Amino acid sequence: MDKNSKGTMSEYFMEAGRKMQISNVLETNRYTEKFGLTLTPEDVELLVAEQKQTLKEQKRVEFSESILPKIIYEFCDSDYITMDNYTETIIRLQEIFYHYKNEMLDEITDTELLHFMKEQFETVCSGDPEYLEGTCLNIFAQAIRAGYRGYEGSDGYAEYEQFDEVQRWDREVYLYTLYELLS
Amino acid sequence: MCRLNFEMEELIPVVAKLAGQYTGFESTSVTYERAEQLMEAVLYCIREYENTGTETLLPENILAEEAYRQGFHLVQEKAQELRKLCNSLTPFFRTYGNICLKDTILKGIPEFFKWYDMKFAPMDTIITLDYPVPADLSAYSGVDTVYEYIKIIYQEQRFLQTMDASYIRQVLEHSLGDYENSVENLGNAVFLNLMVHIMLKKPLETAGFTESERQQIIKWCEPLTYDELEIHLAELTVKFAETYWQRDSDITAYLKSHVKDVAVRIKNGQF
Repeated sequence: MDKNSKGTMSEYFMEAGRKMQISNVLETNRYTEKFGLTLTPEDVELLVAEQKQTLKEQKRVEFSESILPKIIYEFCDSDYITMDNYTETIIRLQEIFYHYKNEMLDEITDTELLHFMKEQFETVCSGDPEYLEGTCLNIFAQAIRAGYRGYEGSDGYAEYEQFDEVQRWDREVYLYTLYELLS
Repeated sequence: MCRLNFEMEELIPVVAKLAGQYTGFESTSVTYERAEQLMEAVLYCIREYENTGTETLLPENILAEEAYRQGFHLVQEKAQELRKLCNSLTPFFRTYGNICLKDTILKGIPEFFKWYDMKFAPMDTIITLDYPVPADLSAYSGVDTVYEYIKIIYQEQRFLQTMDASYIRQVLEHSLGDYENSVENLGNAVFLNLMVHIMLKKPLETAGFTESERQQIIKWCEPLTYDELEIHLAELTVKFAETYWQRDSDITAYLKSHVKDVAVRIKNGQF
């Protein structure tokens, strides 16, 4: 298959589901509005356009339903997403998602990756997509490329602790430090 | 040439469905490379459907999905036919000590059956068919390549086993020297020996030829062009096949596939 056919094929995949994709993303508002988050039709057009660009950059094609609604449903209850940063955060998360599907060699399912991303976003990363991309996911991707498959049993939850290189706060460390400061 | 001219819009849903099956419906996207592979898989099956019964008319309004489904069924059938052919070859298969033949058939073919992915990569042949055969199989791919290849090997074995194994080894040693490590086609060497014997009207008792016999053949071939010699050898081949295989068309076709190369060797005195 030549380069032109490849490009044509990916364009066909994108255009084939575009209208339904816009409608499905708008549909998410029914659920997300209870978290104070809604997307305007212009926001959705932007998200879909960014998705198309990201898929092209990551050399991927979406062949059925879009991942966008799934990202939205996964992250809409985040403590770190507000109306001020909703659209740009979803765009960023989408970029990170496709990038790491490639980095993890498609060994991980969409659901497992989204669960991992959300869990780390809310805890270790404190809502920082850059930290999510540059640290947690990077380390996790290395483990997967080396053959780790433990996430299959956990659906992507509670996986990062065993790979985390940073000493983090827990109750004992907190009390010890507090004692040191007060004494 | 594709007689069924499906547009991209018709093929994409078929590829999308296959992609879903490939990911176990657990991913909404695949890489370009994977999508390309799955498109090739769909096209391979559609071509299989197209190539069945080239004499008959294909339904004009067949959907891509249906053409793919029927083509995939044909790929499955071809793989089963290949397995049956291999099973019927195995009991009488001989390597005559040739390592390349042994490795290709006894090691390579089982690996093909183990790893051939008829659903998601039917176009991949997977194995390298290192033992050469007298045919250009470059137009084939996937199970078709291996099927055509084994058909040739089957006829070659039928041909070789009309002669005593020790005689075959003599001929091979005379023609190829270290025939056990050779990557030449064994049937070609034996057929060349056979043709020269027939031209000399010499019984097939000894391998090799005297210098006087060689000069006799070279002198006889001198006024002929390569094409004329080829025609003569083809006639001899047909007569030989009629005598020993009662006009068996498969073995006749196999023997004739050597004629062009053997004509060149005989004319050049390379025997």
